[in-house]
Parts: sequence; structure tokens; C-alpha cells
Amino acid sequence: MISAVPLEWVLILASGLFCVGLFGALSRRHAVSMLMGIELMLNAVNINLVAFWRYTQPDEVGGMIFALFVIVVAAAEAAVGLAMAIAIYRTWQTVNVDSVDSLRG
Amino acid sequence: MPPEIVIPAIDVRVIAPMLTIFAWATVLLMVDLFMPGKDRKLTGYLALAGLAVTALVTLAVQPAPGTSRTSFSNMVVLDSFGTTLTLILLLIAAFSIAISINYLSYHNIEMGEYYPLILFATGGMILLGQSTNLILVFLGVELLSITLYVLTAFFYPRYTSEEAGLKYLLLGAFAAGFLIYGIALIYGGAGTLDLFEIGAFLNTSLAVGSAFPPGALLVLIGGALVLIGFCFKISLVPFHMWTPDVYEGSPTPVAAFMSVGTKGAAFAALLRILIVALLPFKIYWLPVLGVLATLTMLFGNIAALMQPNMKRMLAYSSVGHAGYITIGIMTAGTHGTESFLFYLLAYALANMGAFAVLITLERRGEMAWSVDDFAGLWKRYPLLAIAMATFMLSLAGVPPTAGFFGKFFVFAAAWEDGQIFLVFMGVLSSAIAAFFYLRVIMRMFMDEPVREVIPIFNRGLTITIGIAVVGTIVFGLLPTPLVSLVQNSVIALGVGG
Amino acid sequence: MSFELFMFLVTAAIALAGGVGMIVARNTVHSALFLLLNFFAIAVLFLLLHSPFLFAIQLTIYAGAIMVLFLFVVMLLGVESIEDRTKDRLAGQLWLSVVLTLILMVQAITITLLAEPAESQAQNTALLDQLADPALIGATLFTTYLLPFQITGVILLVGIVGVVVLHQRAHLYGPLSETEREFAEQYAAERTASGQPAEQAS
Repeated sequence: MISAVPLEWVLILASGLFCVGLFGALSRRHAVSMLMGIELMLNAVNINLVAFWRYTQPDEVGGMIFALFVIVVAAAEAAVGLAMAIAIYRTWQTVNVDSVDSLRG
Repeated sequence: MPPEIVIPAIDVRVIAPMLTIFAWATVLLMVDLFMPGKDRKLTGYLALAGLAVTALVTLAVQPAPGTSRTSFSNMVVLDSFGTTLTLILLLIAAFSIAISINYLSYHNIEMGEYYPLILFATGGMILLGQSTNLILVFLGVELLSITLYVLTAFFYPRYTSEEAGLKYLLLGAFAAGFLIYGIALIYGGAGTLDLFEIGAFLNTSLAVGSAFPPGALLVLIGGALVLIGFCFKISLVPFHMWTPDVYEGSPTPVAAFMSVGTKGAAFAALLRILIVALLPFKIYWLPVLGVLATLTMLFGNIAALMQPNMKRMLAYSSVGHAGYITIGIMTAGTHGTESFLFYLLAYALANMGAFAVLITLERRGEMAWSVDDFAGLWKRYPLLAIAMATFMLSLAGVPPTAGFFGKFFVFAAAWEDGQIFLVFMGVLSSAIAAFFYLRVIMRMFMDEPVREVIPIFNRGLTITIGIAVVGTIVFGLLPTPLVSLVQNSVIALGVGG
Repeated sequence: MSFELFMFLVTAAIALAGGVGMIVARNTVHSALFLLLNFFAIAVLFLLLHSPFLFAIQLTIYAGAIMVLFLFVVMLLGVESIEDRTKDRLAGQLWLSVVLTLILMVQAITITLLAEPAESQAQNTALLDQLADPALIGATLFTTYLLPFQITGVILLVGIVGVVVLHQRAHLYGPLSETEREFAEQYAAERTASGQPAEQAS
């Protein structure tokens, strides 16, 4: 694919997916849906990392290794986030971010 | 056939401080399981011992003045800046644990995991201060953040604590997205994640011709995204919205820990990125940081002016202080390192002390930290009132406190750098800030008590407040030893040396 | 049009469709399934980029572990509790996010079109295949990237401890008592009623 597809196209796809994830994280009002949007953002960045690595730095594996680390961290973050969503649901009976809003002022 | 694994030579001294603290935290986690009963104070004392051991290790491995050590494929560096910062962070963590030990049992939220989590977060901060590779910067930010999400939501029967934890997590994860997007673009532009190599790449590619090389442009845009990611962590306006909510909802010692520890570590990482990697771009990031600093100082202090809630007031005040620290960072390359370290220590002492006083007045099952509770404190508890007054004066930057010299060094460095407008805005916002700090003092000394408040004292709180008061005044009267310490704390600009 | 270009375009279209579907779907389970589709497409993309190892990781960790976790939580909390019913109330915020996202997207595209990354190096297919070898990746993880690798372990440990802490408290202290719940609700109501400057939170 490296010879057939220009790097820019892959980058545009990645930035498009990042923006879709960003929009999801901003527009949804539920903790779980927002987390899904954030996961999509992280995935888009991974495409970026792997593409940059493949196209420009093929003789060392930095980009791909970083993508691996991002996946691991995303997993840890998702686990803590979902645990918190469950904990909140137990006390508030809702995961809607607008209902879970007593801190103001 | 599997490739042969040749582990390169490793200099364990470079990571000795964080290695100690991670190992101690892991062992403490297991020791805690075997502790009988519900009382977890012993775990807290063991955590304090761990911090002391880490401090000794840090001192034992500190590099000779003017030298630095790197290891692990140049991913971490141990320089005098890192050593000083590590010691300050350990002091902050020790304060946080000291004020937590009785707080947790008083509010019936005692769980042994609390202390190892604080240690892990401190380890993450130390890592942030030492890393010279963007992979490690990212991992350090995440380690710190994931720990703090949990600690923020630690106050179980309190509604607001979980809410704060969720808000912090969603915004933090969101900011992490920007951070790694920026890192990916820098990687694409410079072809490396190593800060030294990025700096070298920029120097060569910008020197070649008058045209702006494409790779450098990618690095510039990536740097901007990284800056946005960091702005969330250090709560610069307009990325500060979460700060008051999260501070108010989280357990007070955790809020204290976050307000200085997270800021210190994130600023240190940002400072290292700016000095080591992005110094050739100073013409671009200087005005951006200047605008952010101005907005942050003005907005943070004006918002604090209108707060009847002490905890939120301290949160907004910490936003304002982030603005002053940003001015210190902007002089990166000249006096950035020393004014940053001095300011951080002065701010840490005063802020931890103020939060400790807040804890003495915090009632079980109550969620109001009203300024009214401070009214007439002088008549009933003169020593507590004097301590609080000292912290407020130091936060306001009034001589003879350490806070005055902190602000003085920051402004002097900025003045020398020619940032006269920023110095003017800084002084103006300090004047605004003085209003609400002095208002607390006025209420303590002039007013009659509004309602009966009996402070709780215990050893941890007393010692913390005592050390903070003494430190604030001593460094305010005799700043010379501290000045020479921070002047000798230099960021390593190259590998080895 | 070469085969690879064709494959890339199809995969990209599926990935984007999955992402958009995740946003548009009102049912959270559908949303999660669209995200799963997106993750599969990204995995194929990794394969097209000659990274079979990441392809496998993406499938097992993301599509396998993380998405199952998401679906599990959605099911556990009950789909109806998470269904988007407040969307209309927030029209202002919705438009703000549309505008912000569009701006960012235009920016991102101009950036990527204008900026050429570091010079492409000579492609050596043999070297490429060798680099994708999992054994070599493992060796690199344990040599050059030893420290980040270990730190990742610490992050996972913290994640585990965090999840346990968040979950265990309810068992240690029991569920929230009725008085505590009432107190919190009253507190929230008082704060709203007292007309304190209500900033737009979150």
C-alpha cells in the first residue's frame, strides 16, 4: 500500500476519524458514549503513528511501539472510566453527565 | 529463529528515585492486605517512610553539579533540575499524606489503597520531571492522571466526589487525545520522539534556508497540540473549567496534592520540552504562552474574588498561580528553570498549609467550606489564624514571605527578557488577588464568629502547618540558600556531559 | 486503480462510516457495535500498512477486550438508562461542537496537505517484513523500550487497583443511606437556588 496510496490520504483519514471521535466526545451526554468517542480519538492517532512510521521511518520501530503503548493506556483508562461509570450509576441512578452535575458556582 | 536479546548497559542510578517509590508502593499494597482491623494509619506512616527513603536515595544518586546522566536509550535523564524537582515533589507528597492520615479515618473513608496510590502518582510526577522522550512524557501524564481520577472519586458516600472523578476522567482522557495527536505529528515531522534529537532536527532544518521546511511545520503544529494537552493538566484559561469542580468534589488532601504536585510535574515536563526540543520555535510559543498567562492570571484571580466557598476560592487561586508559573516558564532558556523552581516551592508551602488549615475546619458529612467559618478565628484560635494569615500573605505575594520572592523572581526574569507588558499584567492581577486573600485575613481578625466551629488538630496537621509556616517565613527572610539551590539546578541540554 | 488503493479506499470508507454511525445511533448498543466495526476497519488498515502484529493486537485488545467491556457495561446499566434522550435540550452545545469539529477538520486537512513530513526513506521490502516480525518487536520492547514497557506495567497495576478501589467501597461501607442521598440532593438544590454564578460545567 505504501507505493499505491500517498501518505497524505492516510493522514486525512486519521484526522477525519479523530474529528469524528472528538465530535462524539463533545456532543454525547453520557459517560459511556463520551468514553467511546475518546477511544475513537486514540485509535485515529494510532493510524497516524503507524502511517508516519511506515512511510518515513521504516528502519526503526518507534512509531509502532508507541501505538502499542497507546493501546495499553487506552485499555487502562477505559477500565477505570467504566468502573467509575458503574460506581456513579449505583449512587445517582444515571450516567447522564448533565444530571450528574451538582458542582457549580 | 528468535533474535538474540542483548540488553544494553543500564544505569540504574538514573531511575533510582522512581524505582524506589514504585517498589515501595507495590510492596506497601501487599503489606496493607495483611494489616488487621480497619485502622489504616500504619500504612500511612509506612508510606511516609517510603517517601523519606526515596528522598535519601535521590540525594545519594544526585549528579555532580553541572553534569547529568542519561540511560535507557536516552529516555530519562538525571540532572540537578530533576533532583531538586524530585525533592520538592516528595515534600508535597509527604505533606499530603501527613494531612490525610487522620482525615481519612475522621470521614470514614479509610482504605489502605489510598497511600500506595499517592506514592504511584508521585512516581509518575518524578518520571515526568525526568523524561526526555515523548513516549515517557505521555506515559508519565497517564500514570499520574489515572491515579488521580481514582483518588478524586475516593470520598465514597459523598455524591460530589464521584461526580468530580467522572468529570476529571472525561476531560483528562479528552486532553490525552490532543496530547498524543500532537506527539504523533511531532514524530511525523522530526522522525523521532527523543527531545534532544527533535531539538537537533529543528536546529539543522531551520538553519538550511529561508523557506519553512515542511517537517518543521508539522513539529510546530504538533507542539501546539501538545501544549493544549498540557494546558488541561495545568489548568490554564481557557482549559481550566474542570478545576474548581474537581477540587471541590475531591477529598481535601487530594485537592491539595493535585493543586501543587500535578502542576509542578506537568510544568516541569513542559519546561523541558520547550527548552530542550522546541527552543528554536521560541518566537512562536512565546506570544501564545504570554496570552495564556495573561488570561489565566486575570480570570483566575477575578473568579476567586467572587467565591464565598474557600475550597473553590483556593481552586481559582491555583488557576491564577498557574498563570504566574507560566510567566516563569516563558523565560525558558534564561532564568526559566530557577524562577520556576523557587515559585513552585514557595507556592507549595503556602498552598499545602492553606489546605491543611481548611481541613482542620472541615466537618464530618458537611460540604461547605464557607469563608464565614474563618470569621473571628483570631479570638478563639490565634495561632491557627496567624498561620492562615501567613499563607494568605504568601499566596498574595506580600513581603516578608516566600511568596513575595517567588513572584519577584518570576517578574524579574520576565523583565530581563523584555516582557514588560506581562510583568505589568502580573502586578495588576496580583493587586486584584490581594483583595480576596486580604478579605480572609480581615474576616479572621476583625469579624465576630458567625457560627461555632471547633477545629480538629492532630499531629499530621500540626506538623504540616508548622513546617509550612516556618518555611514560608524563613525563605521569605533568608532566600539566599534556596536561590543558590535553584540556580544550581540546571536542565541538561544534551546527552551525557 | 491498483488493488491496494482500492482496498484502502474501501477500508477508509468503512472506518468513517463506523465512526459516523457511532455518533448518529441513538441506541447505545448500536453505537458500540458501530465502534466495533470501526475498530475492525482500522485493524485492516494496519494490515495494509504492513503491521500484522498491530492488526492482531487491535483485534484482540480493542475489538476483543475493550469493546466487550463497553458492551458489558452498557448491558449491565441497562440500555434504556443510557439512551440519548436529552439531545434536543442541548442544541446550543451540539452546534458548538459541530462548528469546533468542522474547524478542526478543515485545519487538519490543510495541515496534512501542506506539510510534507520528513523525507521518505528508501523502501526496503525485506527490511519491512523483518520489522513486522513479532519476535523482533518483543526484542525491541525489552531492549530499547525497556523503561516505557515497565512503566506500562505500573499503569496497568494502578488501573487494577483503581478499579478495585472504586468497586470495593460500596461493599466496605454499604450503599448510600437514604439520609445521605437526601442530603446530597438538597445540597445540589440549594446551590442552584441560591443563584450562585452557575458556570457551564463540563
